[in-house]
Amino acid sequence: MRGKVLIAALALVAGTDAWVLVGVARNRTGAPDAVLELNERELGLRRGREENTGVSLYLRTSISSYGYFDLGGKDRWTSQEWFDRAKLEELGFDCSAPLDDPGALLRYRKMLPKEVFAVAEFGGGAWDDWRAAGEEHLAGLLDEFEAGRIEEREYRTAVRRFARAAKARSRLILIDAGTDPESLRKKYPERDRYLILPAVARLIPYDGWDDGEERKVARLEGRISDILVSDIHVPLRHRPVLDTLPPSGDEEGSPYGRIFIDEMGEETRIPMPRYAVTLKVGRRNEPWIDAIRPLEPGETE
Amino acid sequence: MTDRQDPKPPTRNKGDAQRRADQIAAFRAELDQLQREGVMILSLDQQREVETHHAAVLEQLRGLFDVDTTTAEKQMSWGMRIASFIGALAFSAAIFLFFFRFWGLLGTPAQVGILVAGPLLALAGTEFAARRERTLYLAALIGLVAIACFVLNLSVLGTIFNIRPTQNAFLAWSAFAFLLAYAYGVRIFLVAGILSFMGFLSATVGTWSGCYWLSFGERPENFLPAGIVLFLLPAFVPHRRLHDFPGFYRIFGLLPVFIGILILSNWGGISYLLLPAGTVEILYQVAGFLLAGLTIWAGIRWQWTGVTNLGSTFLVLFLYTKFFDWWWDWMPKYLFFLLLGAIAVLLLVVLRRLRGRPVGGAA
Repeated sequence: MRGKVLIAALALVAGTDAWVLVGVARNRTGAPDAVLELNERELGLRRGREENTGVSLYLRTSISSYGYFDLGGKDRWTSQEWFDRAKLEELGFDCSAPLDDPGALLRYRKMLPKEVFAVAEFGGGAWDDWRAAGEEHLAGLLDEFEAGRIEEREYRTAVRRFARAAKARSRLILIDAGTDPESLRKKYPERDRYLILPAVARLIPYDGWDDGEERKVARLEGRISDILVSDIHVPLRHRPVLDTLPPSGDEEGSPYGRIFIDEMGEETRIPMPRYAVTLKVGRRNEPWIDAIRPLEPGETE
Repeated sequence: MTDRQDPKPPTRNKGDAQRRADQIAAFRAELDQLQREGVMILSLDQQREVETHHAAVLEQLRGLFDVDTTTAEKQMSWGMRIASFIGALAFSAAIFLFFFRFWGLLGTPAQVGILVAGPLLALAGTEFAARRERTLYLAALIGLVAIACFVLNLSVLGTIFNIRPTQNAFLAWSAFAFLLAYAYGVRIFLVAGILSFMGFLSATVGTWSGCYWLSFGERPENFLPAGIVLFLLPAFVPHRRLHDFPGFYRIFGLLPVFIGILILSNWGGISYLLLPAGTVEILYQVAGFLLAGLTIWAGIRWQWTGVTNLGSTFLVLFLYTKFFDWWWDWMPKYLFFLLLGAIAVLLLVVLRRLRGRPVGGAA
């Protein structure tokens, strides 16, 4: 009896591992779903500490760790303006309760997140829109500064932050979400421009004041709170480039740092990327690193 | 003089063997007492026969299951169990940390090879230890390490190949732990299996509401169906060989139910129920008291000692939590604790009266 049970345990381990590895092979064989060359702006380096020799690259999209899209210092959700009530309903959130119903807010606040697929656009129209919005925001701040409504420090800080973000920020911007990756790929067919990745979406009931509004507004918004596979393991064969990286552009004296000087002569250090990564995404929408190459200082300018 | 029969065939597991050994020790002590009080005197021949029979049975049980026959041996066994558990934790931590210390220096085939080989080798080690040592303390240690290796196996494969996480890993881990538990009759494997299965069931229940599986912990109600399933499992799966296993299903099935209700009775805002937090808390407080009472009754009715103790513990917890909510802010602190003490005395009186009612033998 014990012998049979032990054989079953052995078979369980072997079978489970075989299942996992077959799944990996299925993901990586055939034509990949997406192939992009990203760089350090989109794939930041994460090293383990002394007790962990593993290295990974973490995927940065337009969600920062605090959930806002840095736009000259102003907290905004503009990168996910597309995530409205209609999109929430499309993803399976029940948005039928009217917001003026007293119990609706409780119901919406209690909704748990859902697993979806998010579409990230690389350096395309969404990035151009972000830059245009940033420049417009700065122009508005300049008017306010000249009218004496804000201090010079606030304006200068916004200018420096935008200059840094425009050169150093990730160019991957989330532009859509859905439940079926194949439908999303049909909608966004360019495999060298759009990544479709598993993600977690949340419903956020907004109940507050919008800019310029005199009374409270209530609406439902969505947010992609996490990309599920954002820490991408670096296999040993790709480590040599990362293990011999020169100092980051933020460090004094690094050839990968660029100095931005504003009209008042104040300097801001802007880091340039040190490596480029060919990232592939397979049929199960799980990514892997295909190649890493070093970048020359200024190669991406 | 009756014909003496050969000692009965040995019991099938260590638990039953230890109960028989304890029974013999208790019989000897009581017989001594009765003889000293002059209530019952056995003849020398009878005493010799009983003693010879018991000695043969104990010899057989010691030989097959290494049971404890004295208090000192029992205490030593407890020490060995604790040492085995701590050793397993330490070895498991060492394996995890060792792997993470060196895995970055290995290519992918080597990483996969080590991860796959780990649990298989540990499993072989468990069987080897079980054949060499009857007490199974060493086998339990190595078996726990095997379970830890399997956890490391699936976790790190997921990291290496950037696989989207799912709750199915919990199912695989629980199946592995259950197989070891039933192969060797070791309870710590069973506990590992139950806890992992609880994770799988709770996460799956969470996904039924359409949520992302990792969010299952945000709603304690997700643990309730899983706990009930585990509690009821022994009723549908008879354990003819491993008689102490059903008790563990019952205890570890009830535990998440009680903990979930305790949490919801204090933080109603995290419930699925679309009611104000205060209302939810009241509902779950009432449910908690009812469940605790029902559990105590069931434990007494079916002689499930552990279940009775668990119900009593949580009854006291629910009571004291309520007292804290009602009195802590406004009552002088000395009076608060004085009242708690008085209520504890009252509980003792009530339980003593319940205890005084005739009941059957222990389960």
